[in-house]
Amino acid sequence: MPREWMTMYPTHWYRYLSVILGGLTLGILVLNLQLVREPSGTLAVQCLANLQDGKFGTGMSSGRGNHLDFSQLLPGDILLGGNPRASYGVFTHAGIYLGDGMVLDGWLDQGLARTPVETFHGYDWACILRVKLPPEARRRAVDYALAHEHRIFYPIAFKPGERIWNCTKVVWKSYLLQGVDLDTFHDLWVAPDAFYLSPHVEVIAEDGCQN
Amino acid sequence: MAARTDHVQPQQAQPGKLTSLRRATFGSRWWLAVAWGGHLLLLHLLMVPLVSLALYFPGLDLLLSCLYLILLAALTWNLGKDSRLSLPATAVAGLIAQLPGFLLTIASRDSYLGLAAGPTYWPFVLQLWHTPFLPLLSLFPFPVAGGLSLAYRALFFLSGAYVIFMLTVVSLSRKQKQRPLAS
Repeated sequence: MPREWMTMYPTHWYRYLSVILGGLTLGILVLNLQLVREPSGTLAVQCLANLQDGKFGTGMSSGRGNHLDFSQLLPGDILLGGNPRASYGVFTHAGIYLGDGMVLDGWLDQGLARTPVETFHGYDWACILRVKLPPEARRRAVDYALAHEHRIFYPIAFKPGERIWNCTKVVWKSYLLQGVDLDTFHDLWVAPDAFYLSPHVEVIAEDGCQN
Repeated sequence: MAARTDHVQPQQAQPGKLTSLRRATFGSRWWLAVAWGGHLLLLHLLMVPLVSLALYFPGLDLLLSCLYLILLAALTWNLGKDSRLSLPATAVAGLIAQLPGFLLTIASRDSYLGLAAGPTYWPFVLQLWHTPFLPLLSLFPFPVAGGLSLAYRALFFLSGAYVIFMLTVVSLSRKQKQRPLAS
């Protein structure tokens, strides 16, 4: 093969890479036709609409926190936390309870890491969800989540793949492997609100929630 | 009979004032460095959504990330063959290509040093900027040290590493060019 490709000016590459970019976009859209048919309900459109209303990112904490009772927590329970004016839903963060006061959740500066459950008191509202599965299945979900500790965090990690995660993806995938799909929206990404609205969970406790 | 060729001399442009100025500006090695830096910046900007979307197809993201590194090495190798570009001029091209990365690193420094008073989105933007390298980073688990993941710490050095990578490739390219041909 001639070495022409190596000596090509960058402008040539823009053309090829733009074609790949178009192909990838088309591929994702074709694989998710339900989102194309009804784009108004998608997370991306919701974020853009909220942005117009001045709601941005993970919202702004008022600083008052919440008084969620952690005494009922069992390993495998899902913790959700949220702040006002967030762009992607009422809840903005999720974690899976490991036991002994520790949660596995995803942070940009720590990756998938164990954090004390008390961090969820920092949100304006929070809740505990329990997936309607036997304790053994919930334990297996915890084991799966723990096996991915220290993996890299990326806020817009898509659902496929096991190398790049965000806080909701690890919870969703842990339970998907137990036969329960907690993503009620069936979107490209999993929003924390999808867990709250899932028919497969029951709300154990909540505090500060407005709706 | 010998053909007369003296009347078909190629016309040579007379270097007027404008031509000299253009040559001095656009033909200078610094202008060349700026132009290359701009091209590499555009290439990186194109790779950000490309790799980001490729994350939907696990494996393809890795492939594109590797392709980007190879492409960067190949383009930089050719840059090294251009005798008009010195090493400092190459460094300028690298600095321009990673200018947003350096600015975001500075903007996120409080978060790195643990001095951030409230929530800040600059580290998120910094991570988005370095998306083309993310699949390669994701191959390894990164332990938390001093309260921060080593992957997160790496984000703050990637722009510098990019420039060092360019300088290394250019140096290697020049060494190969200077090597005498085998007899």
